[in-house]
Amino acid sequence: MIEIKSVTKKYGDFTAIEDINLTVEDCSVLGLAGFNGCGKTTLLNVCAGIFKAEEGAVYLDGADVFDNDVERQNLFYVSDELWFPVGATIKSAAKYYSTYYPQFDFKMLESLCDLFSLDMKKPIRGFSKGMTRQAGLVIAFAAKPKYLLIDETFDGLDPHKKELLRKLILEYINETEASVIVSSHDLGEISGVCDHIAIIKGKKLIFNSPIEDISNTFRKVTLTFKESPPENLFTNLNIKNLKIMSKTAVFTLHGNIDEELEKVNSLGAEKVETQLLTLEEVFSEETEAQSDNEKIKRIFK
Amino acid sequence: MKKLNEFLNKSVTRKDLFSNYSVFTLILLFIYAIGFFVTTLGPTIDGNNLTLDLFSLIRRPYEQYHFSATETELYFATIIPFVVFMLQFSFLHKKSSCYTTLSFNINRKNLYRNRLLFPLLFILFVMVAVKLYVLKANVDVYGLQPLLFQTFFAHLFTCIKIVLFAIFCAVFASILCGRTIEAAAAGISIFALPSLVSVFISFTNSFTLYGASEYSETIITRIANALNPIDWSDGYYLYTYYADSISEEYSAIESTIISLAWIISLSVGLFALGKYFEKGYKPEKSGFKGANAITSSFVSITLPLFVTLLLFENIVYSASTVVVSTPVLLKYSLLGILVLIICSLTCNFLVHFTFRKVKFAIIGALATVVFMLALAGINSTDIFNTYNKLPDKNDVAKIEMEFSYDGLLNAGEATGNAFFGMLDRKYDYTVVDNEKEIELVMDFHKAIVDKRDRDTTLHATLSYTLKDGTKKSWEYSFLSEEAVIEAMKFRESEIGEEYLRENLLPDTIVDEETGEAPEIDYWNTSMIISPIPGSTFYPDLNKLSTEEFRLLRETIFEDVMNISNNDWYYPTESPLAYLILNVQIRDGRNYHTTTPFTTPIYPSMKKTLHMLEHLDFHGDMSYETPIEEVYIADLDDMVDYITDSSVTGPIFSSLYPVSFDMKKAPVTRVENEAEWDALFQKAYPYYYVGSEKQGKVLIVKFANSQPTPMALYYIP
Repeated sequence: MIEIKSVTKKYGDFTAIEDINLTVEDCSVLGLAGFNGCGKTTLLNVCAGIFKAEEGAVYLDGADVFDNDVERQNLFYVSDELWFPVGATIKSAAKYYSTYYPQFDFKMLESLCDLFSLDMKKPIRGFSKGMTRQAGLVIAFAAKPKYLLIDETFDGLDPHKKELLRKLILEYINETEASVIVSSHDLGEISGVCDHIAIIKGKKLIFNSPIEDISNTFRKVTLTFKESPPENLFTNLNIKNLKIMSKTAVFTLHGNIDEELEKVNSLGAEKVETQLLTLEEVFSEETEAQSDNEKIKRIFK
Repeated sequence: MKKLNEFLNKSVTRKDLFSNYSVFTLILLFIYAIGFFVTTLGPTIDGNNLTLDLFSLIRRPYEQYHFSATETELYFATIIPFVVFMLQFSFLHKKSSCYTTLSFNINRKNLYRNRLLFPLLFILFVMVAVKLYVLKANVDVYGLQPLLFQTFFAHLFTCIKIVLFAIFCAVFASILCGRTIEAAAAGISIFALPSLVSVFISFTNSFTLYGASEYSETIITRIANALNPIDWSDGYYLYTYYADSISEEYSAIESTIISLAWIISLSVGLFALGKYFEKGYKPEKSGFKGANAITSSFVSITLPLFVTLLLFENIVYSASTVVVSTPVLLKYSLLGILVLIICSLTCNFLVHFTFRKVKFAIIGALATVVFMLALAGINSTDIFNTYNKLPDKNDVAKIEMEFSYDGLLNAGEATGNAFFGMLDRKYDYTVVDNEKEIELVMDFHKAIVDKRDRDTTLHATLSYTLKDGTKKSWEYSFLSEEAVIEAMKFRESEIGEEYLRENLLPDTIVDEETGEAPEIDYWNTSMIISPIPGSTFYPDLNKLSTEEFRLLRETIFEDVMNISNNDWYYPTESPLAYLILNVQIRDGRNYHTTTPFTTPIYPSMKKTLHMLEHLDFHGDMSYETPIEEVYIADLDDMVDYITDSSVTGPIFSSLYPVSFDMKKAPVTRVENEAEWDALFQKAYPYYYVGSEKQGKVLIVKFANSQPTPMALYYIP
């Protein structure tokens, strides 16, 4: 289990992340989402024990990860900028990594390379961006870590390899009961693999929920009235992005959906339509990306 | 007790061995191990038997003194560890490698130890092995001498000190700087800094500037060397001493203690760096974004120092001048600032592709310049009164004086030749040991100390022996007018007269090695009769017996003593000629000639002139060469016809050798050969005109055209 407890990390005077609390259970995948520069990589660097948090700490099965050589033996971090020894092939890089990971499985490495169609004997420096990423991933899985951190998980991968990686992660946690954190700025990409979603915005954690709870947390509602409804009609509701167009009102409902829907039904609308939100829509709601659309429109007007 | 595997992670060490060491292991093995092979080919003391020129660079440390702390080895001892440890800590030079490495299952403490200890142990092992081998080779030659072991430890620890400092620089730079290029630049800067500061201290101390107490100078030099962690002079000199004589006294123990102090300090420094890496190192500052001011600062510090010192050495010292005045220091400091600004801008642009960090460079440079100026100021103004403080006259037992060349007493000049080094010039040396004389010399010395003007050239050494046995000496290159006045008093004294008598021309020559006076075959005297600058015309070569020479010497002394003080120090007349003396010494079948000693002959030295005539100088020149024709002319009329390139003005100060257009010149031929003798009787044997415009010129054309076709004489 990975426990992130009240982690705050600063770069000098600049606070990159503040008071982050998260838990990744065994046999679980946490999807870490957020805009570029929101602090995802910083959080992963703290989780990997590279950075020391100014406040709080990250615990692997109860042990502080920072400078902990024992626990980190079970942790593999596939960072955003992968590094391999100069002139390394997948094979030689694997040998290098195997000195740090005693449980390293070379047979699994061969199988994984076969799966991703990677040549183990070719220098990695000649690989494309996506292939280099795949090289890092196959080594990571072959190291058989109990805690796997993957930054910008699907960056540079083609759709086929993305799907392959999703299946691989799921299979891996089923087999090893590992705790995995995958990060991306694209929620759609990680939605198929994670069972838990956390969204960071403006250095803080703004959303943290199991994926199955999301449908119970957000609902898009369209109400049709006989006449144009006044705005103050909706003040008692827990809603976002209210738009009133003539006799129709559209908004996103969140919180306790059942309770809120009862309130909606009592508003006297002729017609009530509810719709589940996709992960992208949730991301968009939570990060207020929709307001950007209006900004863009204003620019070109 | 901790086990070794607590310090060295076995798997990581193995990885290091196989991945990082392929290059530098080979280099180390090649450099050190080749010495074994080559040495065994011809293990002689001087290496004469070794002819493998291909390996000369590597072989050199091994062949000459067997111990190998020559500059060559020390270059390797500094560069190789520096490069090796830059590689060892290269994971900090790039953000991705830093993050990856720090995410591995090795804590920072062990990571630091692993990167540090294994190569360090490796290098030390090779170094100790080589030194032991060399020790054995020396023991084989010299036997079990205590000095041999002292030297062994001195050298071993000197090398370890240097290796540790190189490692410290590499680790320091790697941990505190970002990219490789910055780390390397910073490391090299740190590396160069102590050495440059040390040299700067040596060059600008007041002893170097104005003359030194030998004892104090030695102490200053030793302190400067001791403060310099890459100083190898102690090691180098040890070998030199050792090579000269096994029994030479030298404080190898002192060198060992200094090196050990450094080793301890550097070990503490490396430990502190480890602690910082463990607790305070921020990986986010690695790589490009982490580039900080340190490189710029170090580059800024080093460059002006380096440039300044380079200029000191190449410009000031190449002119054989040991006096560097405060304005000169300021001048070079300002030049240093200028170079700094240009170099810093360039460096910053090259390193960062921006000028943003220049302000750090400028701060660093300004700090450096302030430091340099403060140092130079303290040294040159002698704030601590180390230069001015002469011993109390009551404490002085004796003073030894040595004046070289044409300095204080205007007694003559010795110029070097190949044999100069063979014989000790004891003739420019005197000792005073009674109270009155000591007081006189000290007044003179005080006059030198009180005013540091450079009115006259002087190279003088005043060495004091105090009653408690302490020795102190001062060395000067320039003299103020005030000091000259004191020197005049000195000349009038008995000891001054004695000094002149002994030093005007040497009448004994002492062999430097044996201390004995060798048998002199003859005193070889010749004359430069023309004070034409650069002229080397020798009209005569007289082989005088010792008796004849001493007679001549006595006569010269009598004439010199009749010249007033004022005329002596500020002569109104130019020398007629210079008497050149050297000595032929027979050594078996070989003849050696000593350094020529030159003394001026002034027109007022009548007795000397007669003595020279008596010794046939005049006769040889005038009569032994057949004269073909003699001409006479008015001096004033002749001035414009003298075309010798050496004569620079219408009033010729010298007329020999010359040439002019005889057809155009207003000369009258003296047809009657019987008149020639009468004319020569009136003429100065060594013609001198000076500013005279009255009188006659006698032009003598010799029968043979060599060595000179014509000579001029002057009839007042």
